[in-house]
Amino acid sequence: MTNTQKRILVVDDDDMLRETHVMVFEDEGYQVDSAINGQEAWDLINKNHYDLVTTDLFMPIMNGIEFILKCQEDFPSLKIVLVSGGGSDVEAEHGQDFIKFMGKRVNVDIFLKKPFSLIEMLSIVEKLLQE
Amino acid sequence: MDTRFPQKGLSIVMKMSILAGSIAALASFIVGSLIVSGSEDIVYDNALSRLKYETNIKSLRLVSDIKNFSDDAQYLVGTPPIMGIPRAINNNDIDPLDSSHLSEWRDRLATIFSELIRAKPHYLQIRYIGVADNGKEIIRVDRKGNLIRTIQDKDLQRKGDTQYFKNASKINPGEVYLSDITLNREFGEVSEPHTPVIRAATPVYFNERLFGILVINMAFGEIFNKLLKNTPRELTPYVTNEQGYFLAHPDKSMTFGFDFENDNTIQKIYPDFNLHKSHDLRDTEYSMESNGDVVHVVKAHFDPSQDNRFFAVMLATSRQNLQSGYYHLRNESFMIMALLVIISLIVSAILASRLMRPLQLISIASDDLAKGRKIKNLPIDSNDEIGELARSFDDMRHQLEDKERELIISQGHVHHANKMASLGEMASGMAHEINSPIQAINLIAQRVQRQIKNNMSFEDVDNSMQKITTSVNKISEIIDSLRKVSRDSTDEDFRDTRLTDLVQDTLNMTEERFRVNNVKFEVKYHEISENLVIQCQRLQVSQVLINLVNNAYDAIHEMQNKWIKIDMYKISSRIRLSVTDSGPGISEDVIEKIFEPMFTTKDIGKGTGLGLSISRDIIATHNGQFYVDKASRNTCFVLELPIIHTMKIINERNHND
Repeated sequence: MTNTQKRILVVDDDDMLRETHVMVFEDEGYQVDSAINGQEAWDLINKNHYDLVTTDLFMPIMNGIEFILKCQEDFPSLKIVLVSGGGSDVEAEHGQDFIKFMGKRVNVDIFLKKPFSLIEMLSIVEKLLQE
Repeated sequence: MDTRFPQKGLSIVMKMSILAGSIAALASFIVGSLIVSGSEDIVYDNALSRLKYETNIKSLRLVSDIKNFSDDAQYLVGTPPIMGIPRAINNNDIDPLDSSHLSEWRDRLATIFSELIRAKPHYLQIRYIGVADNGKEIIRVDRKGNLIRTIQDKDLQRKGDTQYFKNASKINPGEVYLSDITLNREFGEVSEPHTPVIRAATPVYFNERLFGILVINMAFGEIFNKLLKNTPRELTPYVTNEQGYFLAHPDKSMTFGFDFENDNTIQKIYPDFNLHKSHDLRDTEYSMESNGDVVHVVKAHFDPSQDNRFFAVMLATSRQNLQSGYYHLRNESFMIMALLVIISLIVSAILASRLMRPLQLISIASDDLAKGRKIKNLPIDSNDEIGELARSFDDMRHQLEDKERELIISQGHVHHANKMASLGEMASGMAHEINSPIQAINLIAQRVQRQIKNNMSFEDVDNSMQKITTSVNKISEIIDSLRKVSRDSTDEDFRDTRLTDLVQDTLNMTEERFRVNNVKFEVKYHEISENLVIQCQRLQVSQVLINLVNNAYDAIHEMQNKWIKIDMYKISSRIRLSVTDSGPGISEDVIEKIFEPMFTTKDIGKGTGLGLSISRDIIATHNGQFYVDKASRNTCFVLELPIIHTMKIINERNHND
C-alpha cells in the first residue's frame, strides 16, 4: 500500500456521494477526510495537511469556486479536483455564469464531469498524487 | 338593475304606439276634415232643399184646399134648383119644365146647401143671392156651431153692395171669384171669435142675363191651424197675403193686421223683404236671408184667373238651424276621429308589444348571455326577420361558447406552458439533484465490481447495495414530484390539503437550488398548526407558490444578501401566506402592471410574463386574494386563501382510514 502517506479531503454536500468517495479512496489506501461544504473544508485544510482535494461545485454556505479560490491563494501546491454535475447543458451554462460572477479565473488541476467512472477518477487522483 | 344599458326615454313599444296613433290621427283628421269641409255645402244645401220642399208642400195643400172649395161652388151652380128657381120666378113661381113650385125648388136647394155644409165642416155659409132687389138673398144656409140652419125669408138680407157680389157679377159664367181671406164681420164689425173667412162666388145667368150669385163662405182658421201645426219644430211657418199681412202666424195676434188696421207684416220681421221681388209671377219661389234667418217663400196662386193674387207661404229658420246638420256631422266626425285614434293607439300598442316581445326576449337573452346566465325563450322558431335575428343571435351565442371553450382550453395551455417554463427554470437544480445519486450509484457499483475480487466482506456488499437502493429511491422521489407538478392540473378538484403538503411541494422543487446557491430559505408557521387543512386545488396552489419562490430567486440570486421566507398566518377563516425575499420591493408603477399577462421584468427568454397573471387567476378561482404587500420593506407577495370548510385538524396517526 504505497498510498498510505497521501491524505485526501472530499468536499460534497451530497451525503451519499461524499460517503462513496470516502469509501473508494479508503479502498485504495489513502487517508481520507470529508467536509459537507466549502467552509468546513477550509477549516480542515487549515488544520491538517492534505495532498489532494476533490470538491463539488454547488454547495451551501461556501461553494466550490469560493473554496478553490481560497485554496489557490494559501495552498498553491494542493492538488484540486473539481467534481461537477455537468451532464446537461443547463448546468454547464449555469456553472460558467457562476464562474463569471466570481470574476476570477479558477485554475483547477482537473475538472471531473459527472458521470465519470471509478477507474477514471482513481487513475486521475493517482496520477496527480505522483506528480 | 343593469346599468350598462340605461333605459332612456320611451320604450320602442311606446314609440311605435305613438307613431301609429299619430299616423291614424293625422289620416283620420285629413280624411275627416276633407269630408266635413266638403260636406258643409252639401249638408246646407240638403237642409235648404228640405226647407224648400216643406214650403212647397204647404203651398200645394193650401192651393188644393182652395181649389176644392172653388170646385164645390161650380158644382153647386150645376145643381137643378139653381136654374129651377129663376124658371119658376119668371113663370109665376111655377117651373114650366116640371111644374115645380118655386118653394119646392127653394126647399130642394136649401137641402142641398145643408147637406154640403154638413159634409164640409169648414163651410160656414152657402147662399144663393138674386140680382133683383139689390142682391137680396134667395136661399141662405148657415152653420152656427154644430147647428145647420136655413134662414127664414124674413131674415134674408140684401148683399148687392158687397165686394164679392160686385166682383162675381163681372165674371163669365162658370168662373169663380175667390175673395181675399178676411176676418168674418157681422154688421160691419169683426165678429168674435176671430174667424178668417174666404168666399167663393160664381154668377148664375138665366136667359143670358145675370140672375144671381152663388156664394160659399169657408172658415180658413182650421186650415191655417193645420198648416201651422204640421210643421217641423225648427221651422217657423208664415202665410201672408200679397201685401205681406200675416194670415197665419204662430202668434195669432200678429195676423190680419189689415182688419185691425195695424202694420203686422212680414216686413216688420224681415225689413229687407220684398214679396214682389220675383217678376215671374207664376209658380215662383225664392229663398232669402234676413236677420240671421233663412226664409223660403212660395207664392201660392190660388186664383187661376188672376196671376197677381197669391198667398205667400213661407218657412223660416235660423241659418244656424240649417247648418246644425253640418255641425252635427262635424262633431260626429271628430268623435269618430277621436275613437279611431284611441282604437289605433290600443291596437298599435298591442301589435307593437306583440312585435316587440321577441325582440325583448332577444334583449333578455343577450343580457343573460352577458351575465353568464342560461339563455331561454329565444324566439328562433319565428318565420319573420325577428326569427332570423334570434337565429343569428343563437349562432353568435354558440360561436361565443365555442370561443369561450377554446379560450379555456388555450388558457389551460398557457397555464401548462407557464408551468413548463417554471420547471425549465428549475431544471438545473433538478439535474444537479438527480446527477448526484446517479453518480453515487455509478461509483458504488464500480467499487463493488472492483472490490469483490479482493474478498469483499458480506457487510460491505450489503452496505453498498443499501446505498444504491437509497440513491435509486431518491431519484424516484425527485422524478415523482416533477411528474406531479408538471401534470396539467387546470381541472383539478378541490381537495382537503394540508398546508404543510403545499409547502413541501414547493420545497421539493426549490430547496436544492437554494441550498447550493446559498439562499437562506425559511418557512414559518405563525400560531398556526402545521396540520391545518384547507380546501384547495393542491397542484394549482403549489404552482403559485413555486412560481412566487422562483420569481424571488430570480430577483435576488445575484445579490450578496440572499434570503427568501414563507410566512403563514391564520386570519379568521382565511390563510394568509406571504413570500418575502431580500429584494428592495417593487416600484409603485410596476405593481400596477405586475399582474397583467405578458408583463415581465425578466430578460427575453427568461420568463413568459404569464406567471403572476395565471397565479392571480388561480387564487381568484379559490375566492382568494393575491397582491403585493406595499407596507413591506422587502418584496412581499401575499396570497390569502379561504379555508372554505371549518378548519380540520388531522391527527396524523389516527387519520389514515
